[in-house]
Amino acid sequence: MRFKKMAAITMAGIMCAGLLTGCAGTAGESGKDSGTGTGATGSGAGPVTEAAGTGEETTITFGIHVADPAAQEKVTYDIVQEFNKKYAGQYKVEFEAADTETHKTNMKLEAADGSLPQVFWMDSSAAPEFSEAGYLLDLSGFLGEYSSTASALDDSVLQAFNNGTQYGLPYQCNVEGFFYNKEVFDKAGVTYPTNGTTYEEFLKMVADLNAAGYTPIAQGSKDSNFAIWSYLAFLTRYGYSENINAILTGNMKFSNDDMVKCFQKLQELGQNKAFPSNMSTISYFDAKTSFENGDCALLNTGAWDCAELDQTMGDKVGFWWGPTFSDSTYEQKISMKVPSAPLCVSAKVAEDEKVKAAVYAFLEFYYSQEAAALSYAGSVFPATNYTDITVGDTQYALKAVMASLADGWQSPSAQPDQILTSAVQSQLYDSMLGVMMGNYTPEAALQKLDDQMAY
Amino acid sequence: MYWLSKKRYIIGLTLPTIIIYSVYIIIPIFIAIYYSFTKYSGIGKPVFTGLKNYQRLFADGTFWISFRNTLIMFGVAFVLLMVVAFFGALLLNQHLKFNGLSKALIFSPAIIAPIIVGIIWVYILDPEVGILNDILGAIGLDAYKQQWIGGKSLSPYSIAIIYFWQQLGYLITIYIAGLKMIPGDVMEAAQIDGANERQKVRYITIPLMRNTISNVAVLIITGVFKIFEIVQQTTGGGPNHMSENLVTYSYSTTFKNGEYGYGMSIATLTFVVTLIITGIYLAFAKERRE
Repeated sequence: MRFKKMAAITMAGIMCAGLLTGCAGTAGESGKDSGTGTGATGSGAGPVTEAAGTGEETTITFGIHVADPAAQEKVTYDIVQEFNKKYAGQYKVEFEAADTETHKTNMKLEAADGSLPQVFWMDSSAAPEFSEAGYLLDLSGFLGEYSSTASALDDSVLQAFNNGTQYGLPYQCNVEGFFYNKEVFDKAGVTYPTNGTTYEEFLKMVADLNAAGYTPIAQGSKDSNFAIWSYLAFLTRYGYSENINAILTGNMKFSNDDMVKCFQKLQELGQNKAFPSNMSTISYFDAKTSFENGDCALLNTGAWDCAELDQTMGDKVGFWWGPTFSDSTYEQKISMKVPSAPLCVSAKVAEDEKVKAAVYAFLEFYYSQEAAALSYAGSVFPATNYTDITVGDTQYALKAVMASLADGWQSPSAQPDQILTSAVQSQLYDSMLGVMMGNYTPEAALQKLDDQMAY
Repeated sequence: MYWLSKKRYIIGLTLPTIIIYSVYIIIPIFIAIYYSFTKYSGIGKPVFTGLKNYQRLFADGTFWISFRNTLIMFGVAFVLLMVVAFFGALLLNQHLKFNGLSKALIFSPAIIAPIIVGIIWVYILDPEVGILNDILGAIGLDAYKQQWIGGKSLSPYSIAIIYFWQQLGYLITIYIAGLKMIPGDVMEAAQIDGANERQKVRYITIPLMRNTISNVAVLIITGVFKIFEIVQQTTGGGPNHMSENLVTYSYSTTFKNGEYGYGMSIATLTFVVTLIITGIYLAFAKERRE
């Protein structure tokens, strides 16, 4: 009887323990998915395959934040293939691929056990911590050695990933705003938005689109809390760039009059049914599909979707920086062309000259004019500043974005959410979406941000 | 087989299990508990902060929402599974027509991956694209249309129902195995003594099934506190963490926010709560037996 009792208690304990061990992960258990179905042959993190002294090719690993680079990051995939072709027999790049969340976790685990890929994409909020912990190579040596690459990257772009050491180089350039479906606007009898359209005009537009039976803005939040790109310009138009340093140093709060006004606009858009009623159960990808199907008039996204929009919508697509606000004293002609997350290089690369040479050759190619041409061909803005690259006639979405860029509106040097720590960044997304869905008041949403800052 | 009971053989045979269990279960538990007393982003070295994470936990509104949701999921799933699975097993233990087919159909959700279960139920419960609201609309019950998932209140109940649907067949199978263990002559004697079906269940089946019932209860308790994929797939914990349970909140805090220390304090507390509930249940069951 006593034994049975002990056995029962032990069994119950074992089953309960399973709860905790599921959370206390150890290195390597978090679902690394190397090179799935893409021709990417990533053999896991770290070890460089090379036949020392035999003159055989040096293989380096590129940790990327999508599970299927050929389909989900086609431009990067094409650049890597071109590099492999150009340096066949000398250098080779293989992908270590996983979805964004898994990739970020993998990089942390691999940093801890010393098996980081030689080159890897990293979230902007986490990269400085990697740098401070000594996991990243200072790339100022590379920029000094390859001056043509250095001059192809604007100083402001480089500064975004420099905290005293150049811990990363921009992966691409993000251009973010609202794409709109001209056909839907035509059918609803609503004039297209233009750069300079005011918030009040936008509200009227929302009402008219609703009256015509269209959802004004395609927006999802499930598994997509990061999908707030177009609204980041709202923050900037209410003084985010001017005040964020004071907020981060504790001299100011998120709960300030300007931010309250900004969040009130998001709340008002929600109250005026600017978003789908099932916004909480659809993802950004579902929202994009509904925009492409003509159910929604505008899509909050970035230029990375240009190639897809060209395919699905052709010349029906337009682009807009979002509304301006008359109750703000800050600059309103704000665009959003910012460096995306950094490409980082493992500090261990410096330990092996052959590997370092391979990594430098890859970075030189990645930021070359040849790679920039591949980027534009894939409707993605490269981080480089080459100008004499032509855009195809059928790249309608990209041309629409470029037309908006030609208006010359100024852009912050970094994407507003990317300068926050991961935890504050997550809270920013939660607060903005919470206000848009009517779950938080503007004041409560901003208080949550201040609370998160305090931890 | 007497020789196997010698101490050295017992130790030799159990040692591999003990080692594996220690490496993969016991040590990670202590690592998690240690991290729960630190501030750690997963990069660099954890900084010891004492009880700060636990103090924060008790002041964190989202933690209490996820705690409440977990208790709702537990309450609904526990009651439904204990009762329905038991009576389902009694029914399926009869020699009825299509018994085999019924067992197979009821068991089938248990072999579907939880992530697929979530996808299936999104197409049933989603307020816009789900068929439940469509059916309610089609039969003129528009007033009963709800935000079954993704709203502010019903998600934990819906998730409990999904978990119930998924686990029912599995638990019925365990109950049926328990029913098969009841000696036929006991039932026969009761029959001769004139006991009706209700009396047989109450005075013979339930007392003789106590161990099975206890096992099922522990399985439900530990299972409910591990519900993860269903929440992730149906609501992603949203909107605004309103449908998180303790496990998903621990996960999002740890891996999305990069707050490993705080996330581990939630995991540790979940572990403790599960132990307490299991302990209470086992103590209660023991008292009933005695």
